[in-house]
Amino acid sequence: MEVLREAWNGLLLLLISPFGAGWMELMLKFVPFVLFLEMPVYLFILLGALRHALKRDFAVAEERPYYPKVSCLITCYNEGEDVKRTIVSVAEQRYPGQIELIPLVDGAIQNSSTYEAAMSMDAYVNAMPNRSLRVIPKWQRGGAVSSLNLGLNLVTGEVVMALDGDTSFDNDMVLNVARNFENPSVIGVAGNLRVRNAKINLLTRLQALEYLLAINVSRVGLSEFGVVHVISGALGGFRRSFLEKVGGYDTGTAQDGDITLRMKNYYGRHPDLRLVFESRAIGQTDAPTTWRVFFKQRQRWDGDLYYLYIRKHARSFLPRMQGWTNAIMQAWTGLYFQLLMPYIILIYTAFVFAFYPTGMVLGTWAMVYLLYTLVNMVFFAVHVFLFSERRREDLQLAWLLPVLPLFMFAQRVNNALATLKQMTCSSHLDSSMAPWWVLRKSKF
Amino acid sequence: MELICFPEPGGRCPDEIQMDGVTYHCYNDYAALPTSFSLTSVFVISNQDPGSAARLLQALRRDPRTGLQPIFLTSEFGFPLEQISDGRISTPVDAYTRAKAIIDRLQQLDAAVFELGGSDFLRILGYLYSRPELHLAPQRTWSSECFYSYPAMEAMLGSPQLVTTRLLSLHDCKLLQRTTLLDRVRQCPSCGGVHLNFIDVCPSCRHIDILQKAFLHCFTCGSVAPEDRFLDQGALRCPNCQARLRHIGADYDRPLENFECQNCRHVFIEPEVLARCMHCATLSPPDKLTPRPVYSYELTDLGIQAARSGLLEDVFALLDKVNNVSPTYFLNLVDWQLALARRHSEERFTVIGMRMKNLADLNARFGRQVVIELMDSLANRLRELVRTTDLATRTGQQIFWLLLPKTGRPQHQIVLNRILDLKNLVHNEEGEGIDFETVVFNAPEDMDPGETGKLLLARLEGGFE
Repeated sequence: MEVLREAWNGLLLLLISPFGAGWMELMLKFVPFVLFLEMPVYLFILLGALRHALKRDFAVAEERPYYPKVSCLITCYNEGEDVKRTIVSVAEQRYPGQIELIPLVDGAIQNSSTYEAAMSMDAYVNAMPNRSLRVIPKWQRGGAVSSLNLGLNLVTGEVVMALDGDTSFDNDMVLNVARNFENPSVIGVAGNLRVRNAKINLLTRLQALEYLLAINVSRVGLSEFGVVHVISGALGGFRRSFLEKVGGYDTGTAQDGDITLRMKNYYGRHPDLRLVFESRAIGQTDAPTTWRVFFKQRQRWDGDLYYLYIRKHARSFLPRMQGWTNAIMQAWTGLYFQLLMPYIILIYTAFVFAFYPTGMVLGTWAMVYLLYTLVNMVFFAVHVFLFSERRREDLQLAWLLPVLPLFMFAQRVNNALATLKQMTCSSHLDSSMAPWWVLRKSKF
Repeated sequence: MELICFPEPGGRCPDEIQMDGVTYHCYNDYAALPTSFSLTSVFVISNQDPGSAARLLQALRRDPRTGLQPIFLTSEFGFPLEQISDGRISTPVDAYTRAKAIIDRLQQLDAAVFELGGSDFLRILGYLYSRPELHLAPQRTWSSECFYSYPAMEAMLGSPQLVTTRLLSLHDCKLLQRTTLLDRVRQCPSCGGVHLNFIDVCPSCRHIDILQKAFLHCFTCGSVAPEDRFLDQGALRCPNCQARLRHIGADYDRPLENFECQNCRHVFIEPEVLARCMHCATLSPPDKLTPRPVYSYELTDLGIQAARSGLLEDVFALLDKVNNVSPTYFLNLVDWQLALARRHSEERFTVIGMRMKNLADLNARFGRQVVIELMDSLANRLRELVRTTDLATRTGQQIFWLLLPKTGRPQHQIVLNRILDLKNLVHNEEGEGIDFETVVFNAPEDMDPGETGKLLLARLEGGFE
């Protein structure tokens, strides 16, 4: 009780006179980590997002009839009947050009229900003008990479899209992705993801909110300065000629981050090449509904990041590979935010609890928490008023904003564990994305 | 044998053929024929013109004196002349051998078959008897009102409708039997035509102007409209609630509705199908069309007997086609109905008796054929009037009974009135019809204690004049 009162007093003091004696010392120790390193990035992102919105609003709308043939590789595993939703949503795209749908069912023997569900769409899709469906069963399981590389041998379109079998797409997705390729320097387009099953429980709602801020606003902002970290494996488009030039996908997990990074490594030599984040190309995906699955998924993602940045592509942080902006931004937002910061936060927390009165620490924490909430609110407002195409739906998540920093903190702890695990056990060799006999072949 | 030849109009008679027992005549047209013929006459139409050959052929078949005789053609005319005639011959010898077979059979027939004003029934039976290899098979005729025709029968009787009713009656009297069910045609309920055009129409306003379109269904407001009305600058927007439709399965989907009526804008899944009769333009739903089976026929033993003796089974047998049961069975059922009515006061039934009064008179005045026709017509009408649950039987020559279960006073009056109306509906050209009287019994009102079915019918019979 005493501790809580002290925490409250501390918070009040910080709010009323932030530069008061004694507290200042603590703040100075804290601020560099929190404000000096994170806030500039947030500002950077916000500026980029605003610039993007302004450019978009003042641009003269022009719709040029550029409709290249699009081949969609849909990697399927055990989606079952759900794969039909994906296929229908791609087939029903409002796109005047040709769309070639190639669902690749990995391990089609054990996933026969998925294979049959995909096959049952044959008549439906092939009856539509400008749409074709060709279901490819891969009887022996080989992982997502093998599916995509196999698909790459079959595609005929100018644009290749890698899509996930459990993601369905807004009907203007293909149009919004494809039109970016009219610019010959665009080699890849990242799509925007939303959570399809947001209404299931608190966890899915929190993830939905996180996607809006982390994927939508952040990536719009970064993309504006030519920075795209990853073209998600659930929704990404590539110029086929370039994808073939880089040699297709590489084995191992995180094939999406890998291919993005390998494409970005051309930036240094060809500064005109571009990857674009297209916020209007929207896919809706199912987020994990239980905490256990959720943490496991994030451990895989975060672990993969270490594997990718440190083990596999450490050299891509050289400015001559990616160019200065991308190298710095990747080091800052990728290396530092994703890999280092979780440890700094953990160590720092341990440190302050050890050397400062608990009440005082909690008070500071409350302050920082408020700060994060404020930042999130600004991001949320930017999203809702500048970018959201589903305002009413998104506003229903607003009440969760005060909870979000706690959710992010839990993720950071989880992240730290994942990185540790990756460093010590090479957990990328034990991924659910591909069978072990495939992952074993990886050099890293 | 008498060979009667019809050469080309204005053409020359061919040279006389020398054959034993064959006399030879040559006429220019039908009108030139003598009035009496022997049973051994054989006609050969060597006319090349199909029009005049057809007229001649029809006239010969139509005439009861010549209708059953062998008639041959020398030119190939195809359908239907080929079927009306007895076929094509190439030489007189050919004609002789083929005619011989027919004439031999004709000579076994009773003279009544060839009478002027004789019975249609006998002529049909005689025709079939004299050509034993012939099954009376309907011919597919697209121009015919019912798709199938019996060309020789139609030439003999003059009208397709008459052929249909006569064949039905002959079958009912067991003089003909059906051999194969060849087809089933659907007829317009209004005119009986079979030239039907099936059209799909709007189920709401029945207008024919419907279009198959791609439809969308907005989840927000539930409106269903053609896809083109959702288009808004390349994107989809609900025309009703203005909601943006972005994600199939989440915002909208494709409904089962596929059609839109251009007249009333009704949107529907399946159009209604109607049959338009090309004869009378009546529109009818397919389930209201009358299915009619098409059979081929052959003579029964009874038919052969009738043809040879010239005697048709008694005319009352015609009544037997009305839901007929045997008198014993009928009496048992009346017994049972009486017992039921005694036990359960709410049980009711009606027995109606009919007695024909003027058959002998009609027979004397108009001949047997008219009586048969009238009885046939009366029986057909009765059959239409009787419900499937009603039963009929015939006791004695002229008395006909109907048992109407579950029908008491006063509902029986409806049936009775319809029966009495038949007196006016069934008559011949002179306006003479069958006169009959009726008696009615209603249970439980008219029941006598202890009365059995047999006693009841006897009591009712006493009610006749």
